[in-house]
Amino acid sequence: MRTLLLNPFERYNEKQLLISGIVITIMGSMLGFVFNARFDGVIDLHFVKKTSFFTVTLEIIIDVLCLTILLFILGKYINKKTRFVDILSPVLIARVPFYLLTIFNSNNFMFKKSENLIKTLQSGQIDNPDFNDLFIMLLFGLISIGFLIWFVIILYNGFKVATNTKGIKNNIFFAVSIIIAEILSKMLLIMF
Amino acid sequence: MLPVQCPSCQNALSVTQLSCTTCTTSVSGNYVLPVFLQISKEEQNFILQFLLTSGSLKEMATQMGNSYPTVRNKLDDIIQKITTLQSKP
Repeated sequence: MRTLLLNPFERYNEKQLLISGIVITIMGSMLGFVFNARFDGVIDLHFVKKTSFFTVTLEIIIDVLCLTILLFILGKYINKKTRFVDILSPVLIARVPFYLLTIFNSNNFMFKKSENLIKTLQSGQIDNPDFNDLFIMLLFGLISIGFLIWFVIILYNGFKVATNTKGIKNNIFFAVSIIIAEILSKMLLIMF
Repeated sequence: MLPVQCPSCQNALSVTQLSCTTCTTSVSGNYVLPVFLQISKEEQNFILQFLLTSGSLKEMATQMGNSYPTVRNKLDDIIQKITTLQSKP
C-alpha cells in the first residue's frame, strides 16, 4: 500500500503508469469541474464560484506540460538516458493529492467560508471574525500543506527512479525546477 | 558467501591459497580477486541475469517485477562500482 501511495514507479512498467496517469488526469479534470476548483499553477489550487470543464482541463494540461518539460530538461542534464515518459508519468500521478483536495469544496463549502472571511475583513470587522470559519480555513490550510508534501514525495520518487539522481545539488535543482515551472505555468495561464 | 573485505581494516582481501579437494595439493601465492567476485552476490546475480536475457533490460524488468528505469539504474550503479574497482591499483 505504501509503495502504491508513495512510489509506484519502481514496480510498474511505463505503460501501466502512463495509463494510470492519464486516467487520474481525466478524473482530476472532472473533480475540478464538479467542485469548482482552479489549478492556476503547478502547485496551486483555488476554489471559485463556478468554472468550466474546458478551463480546468486547460489548466491541468499547462501545469503538467510546464513541470514535465522543466523536469525532463533537468533529468537529461543529470542522466542522458532519462526518458520523457518516465518524467511524464510521475508528474501526472503526483497530482492525485491536488485532485483529492477538491472534494473539500463539496457544495462550494470552502469557497463560501473564504468568501465570508473576505467580507468580514472588507467590512472592517477584523477584530470580530467568525472563529468557526477561521478554524475551518486553518484546518484546511494544514491539510493542504500535508497534501502538498505528499505531492512532492511522489514527484521526487518518480524523478529519482527516472534519472537515478544522487546528491544534494540535484535535489536543489529539482526544487528550483518546480518553482520555475510554477512561475511559467502562471504566466501561461494569464495569457489564456 | 566469499568475503571480499577485511573485517578488521576494511581493505580488499586477496587469495593466498587454493587447494585441490581430490589430491590435497595446495597452491600458495598472492592472487587478487577478479573484479566480478569483488561485488556483492546480489550484483553478481544481476549481471548473470543480464547475460541470460541477452542484455534485454526490458525482459529483466518483467522477470524481476521491477520497472525498466529501476533495472537500468541498478545496472548503471554496478557499472559505476566496477569502474571504481578497476581504477584501483
